[in-house]
Amino acid sequence: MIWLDEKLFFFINGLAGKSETADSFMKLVVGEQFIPVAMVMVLVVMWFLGKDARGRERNQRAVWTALIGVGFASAAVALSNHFFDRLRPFEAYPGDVTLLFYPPTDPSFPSNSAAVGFAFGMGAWFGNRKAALVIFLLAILWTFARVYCGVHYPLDIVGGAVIGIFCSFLAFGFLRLIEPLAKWCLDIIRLLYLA
Amino acid sequence: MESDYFLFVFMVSLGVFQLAASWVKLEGISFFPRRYLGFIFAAVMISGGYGWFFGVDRNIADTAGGISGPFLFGYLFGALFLALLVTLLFSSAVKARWGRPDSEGEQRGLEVLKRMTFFQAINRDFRRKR
Repeated sequence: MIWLDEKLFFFINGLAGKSETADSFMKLVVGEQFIPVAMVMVLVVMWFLGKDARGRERNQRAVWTALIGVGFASAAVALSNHFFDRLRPFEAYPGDVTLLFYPPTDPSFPSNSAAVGFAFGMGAWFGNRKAALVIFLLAILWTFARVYCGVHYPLDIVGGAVIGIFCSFLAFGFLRLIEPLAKWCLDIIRLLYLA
Repeated sequence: MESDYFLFVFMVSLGVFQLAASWVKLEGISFFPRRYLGFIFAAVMISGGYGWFFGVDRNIADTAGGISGPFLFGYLFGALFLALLVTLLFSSAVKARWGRPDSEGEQRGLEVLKRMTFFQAINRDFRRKR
């Protein structure tokens, strides 16, 4: 499995350095600003959408689910960093990897970007599938760029994505568990004309 | 870097709020009398914000002057909140004489902002309570 993972990594990372346009684009989207901000903006638009008051409330609950899911996912990745210490590709194979990003210092597995991106997408899925698909596509682009730029193996991405999706399910359950509080929060925001 | 990032998110958020206002017809938080102007403003702010911020390389490690993860989220939500505040204040100011406070019915929440500005809605609540 590790062999296949590394083979796939070298295939994707091998594409780097062949086209200046592709490299520039990947360097643009690989960071922690471009795509995460776009994902949050999709959630902001989602907050206002809905055919009627019920539809809008479903969307707004999904936005909460996504945000709490991202919190859970980040915590899960931070915790797993104590148990897994996989070297980054550019550390394991110095000289063989085309690195187009600054060298991160935390463990390679699991990918925090994948966990965050897929937690956003799965959270949105509970309210608005079209918005969720947009977020999932952004997450796929973001995580592909992480491999392309030499900072993650594909298996790190899969691990992060599983954690992200699981954490959004967990957040969905958590919100149901604290339903009176969740409803109270939404009612307060509605009193301020913002929900 | 931090102030640039804050300004970038602020610009994009202002654009996104106008996009949402035009899309959902929330005239009370729109800066403009026509919906298409809101869409144009959103396109300019979002593309302008992204174009300006990513005009230079922003892939900088937090140990070398970049922003660390928790601060990224902090600045993001700070700028988003400020953009919301500016949207509510500015739309209420430019549309101070607009609105139909007498035809509000019993609607609640965001629906109210289809008919009146944020300030008008708050003012209506105060008058009702008195």
